[in-house]
This record gives sequence, structure tokens and C-alpha cells, in this order.
Amino acid sequence: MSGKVLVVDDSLTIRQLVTETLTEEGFDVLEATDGHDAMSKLVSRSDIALVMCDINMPGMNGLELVAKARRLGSEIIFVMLTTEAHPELMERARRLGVKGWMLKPVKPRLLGPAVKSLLEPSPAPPAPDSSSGRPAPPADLTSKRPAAPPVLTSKRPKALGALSSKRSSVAAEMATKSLLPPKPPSLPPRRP
Amino acid sequence: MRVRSNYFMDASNHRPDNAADVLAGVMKRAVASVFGAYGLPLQEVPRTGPPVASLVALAKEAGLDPPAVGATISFQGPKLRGELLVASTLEMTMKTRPTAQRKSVAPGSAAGQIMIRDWIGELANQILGHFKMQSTRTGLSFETGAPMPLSGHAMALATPKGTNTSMAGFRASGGSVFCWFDINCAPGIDVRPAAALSNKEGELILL
Repeated sequence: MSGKVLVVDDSLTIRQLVTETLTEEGFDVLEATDGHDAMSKLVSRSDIALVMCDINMPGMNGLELVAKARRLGSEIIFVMLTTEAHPELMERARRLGVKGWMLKPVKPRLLGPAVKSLLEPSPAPPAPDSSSGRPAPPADLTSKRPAAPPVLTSKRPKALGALSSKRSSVAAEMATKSLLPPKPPSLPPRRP
Repeated sequence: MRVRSNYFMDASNHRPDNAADVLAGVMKRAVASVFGAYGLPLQEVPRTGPPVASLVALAKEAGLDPPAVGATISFQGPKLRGELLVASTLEMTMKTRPTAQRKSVAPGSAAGQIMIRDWIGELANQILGHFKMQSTRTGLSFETGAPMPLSGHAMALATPKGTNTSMAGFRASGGSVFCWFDINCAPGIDVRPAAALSNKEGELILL
């Protein structure tokens, strides 16, 4: 498997669980204990392909890590592995280009396939060339391209609504509008 | 354990069937769900008597092994604040630890102690995460603090009179689990019992 996976979590047990599981699946795995540790690894290494990251961590939280990495031009795939599921937080992550969201408790049997699907996405059927009407040539998946702005895909409403029923989605939306301050508060550190 | 004043609740607005009671049920289900997810089904020990003064007293009353390790974690939002303590026996906590290394580490060793304290903190964090998910679905929002692990042979958490606390003991195969929580809601909030916890845990959700 090309590219390493960086697991970022302040819980020793979660890091061990994810590392053990992904190593058994054939991935090379690195660990970081918080956002700062992860950032230093991202800056010093070029072989990290995917970051699996907790959100609530001391020092620099997971979304701050993603934002900082993006500011530095990183196109690395991020997946949040967290207990958080607030739609507003997920939307913030999506805008930062986070590709996936996994809710704890971790289910080891789902970890490997999830990482594999993100690192080796199945090729989409070529879209028709608008000028000629013929199918477009396959994209060069190996080339480095500038990060495209996140696009609202058909999967998004399903993703954001996956955790709640229609009625509770409305309630959550109302809660977001009425209860949350205009600027989201910074997440508190998980460990003192 | 820090005791906070119940500024959200006073005698004029407190009703026995208020939101805190509904949320207490959500919290207990969250405890059972998280332990269940790590292969340890819990059975709540029903209580009918008057409130007991501590988790140790609750353990004695229910015939459960007293807790030896726990973690407390606080939460606070515009309309809801409180604190959760999750406690268990050493063996039980180690048993739910989902990594292969648990097999080679004795709970009483220094390495075992570090692992257990880390893990009980993570369990408390995940339980509060479940609770938060359900609370969000009922229209509440709050931030959570950092889990604070506790351990000791005589961990007796007192429950001061007049606070809006609940506690529950759970029996499991080979041990016991306890939760103690303090939930204070703003007056007048409408919280309906949430549906069952999401079955999306562990699945990849594409954003």
C-alpha cells in the first residue's frame, strides 16, 4: 500500500487500536498524540497519504490541524475519527476538505475498508466530453493537482443527515441557528 | 468532585418529569451502548429505595463490586450543563480495552495503570459523545471538557443533598460499572426522549 497513515489521537488506547488494525490490513501507520505532534510529522515527512484524526485534543484540535495543513498547501486526505457529530462541525470539516467522518466507538472491521476506499477510490465512469459527446479520458490519478474547492456532492445531504431523522435534523438545524453563537467557540482541550 | 450550584434550577421551575429526567435516561442508555460496543453488555440494577450517599454505598446495596477506577468529564452549553462520572472495576475496564496488548499487561502494573486510566477517560469521552449526539437531536448544544481519570481502592464519591444528581449501577459479566451524573437544564426547555442511538458508529461517512 503506497503512502502511510498517520493516526492522531490523545488516547493511547485508540491509537493502539487503530494502528494494530490498520497494520494487520497491510498499511504502514505512524502515530501522533495531538495536533502539534501531527503537524510536525506532516511537515517533516512526505510519505503520509492519509490522516485519521480525533477532534477534541489538547493544544491543537483536529480541525485546527486540518486548517493549518491546508494553509500550508497540503492536499493530504483527512478523516475525522471522533465522538462529535454536530452537523455544524461536520459542515466546517467539509469546507476544510475533510473527506470522511467516522464516529467512535471504533469498529475495527470497518477501519481497513474505509481507509482503503479513500486511498484507492474506485474509478468513476468517465463523464461525457461536452464538446464531442464522447467519454472523457480517464483522469491521471497520480498527478499532483491543486486542491479543488470542496464541492457539494450528492452524498453530502445523506452524510449530514445520516445521524438524525428528518424531524431531529430540523431540530438540530434550529438549534444551530438559535443556540450557537455566530462564531463557533474554540474546542476545549481534552487533556489538561 | 467539584460541586456546582444549580443555577439553572430552583424550586419554582423544577418538575419531577423535567428535561433532566429525560436526559438522565439518555445518559444511562449511552453508558450501556458504549460498553456494549466493546463487547460488554450491561444490565442496569434497578433501584427502588431512597437515594444512597455514594457509589460505594450503591455497590454495596446492589451487591456489586465497588469501583476502583473512573473518569469525570464536564459539559456546558447555553441551556444545559453538568458532569458525568463513569466508574468500574479494574478488571472490567481492562476487559473492554479493545487492543491486543491488554492480554500481556497486568491491571496492577504501572503500564496497566496508565492504560486503564487512559481507557476509562476515553470511555467517559465516548459516553458523553453519545449523550451529546442525542442531545443535539433534541435541540440542545454544549461543549465537553477533558476527561479526568480517578483511581483508588476506596473511591467513594459523595452525592451532596439538594443537587440534581443521578446514579446507576450496572451488572456485567465479571464485574460492575457505575455512572453518576449531574444534569442541570434551563427552565422551560422541551426535551423529548430521543430515538435509539445511531447505528452509524464506526462507519465511514463521506463528507
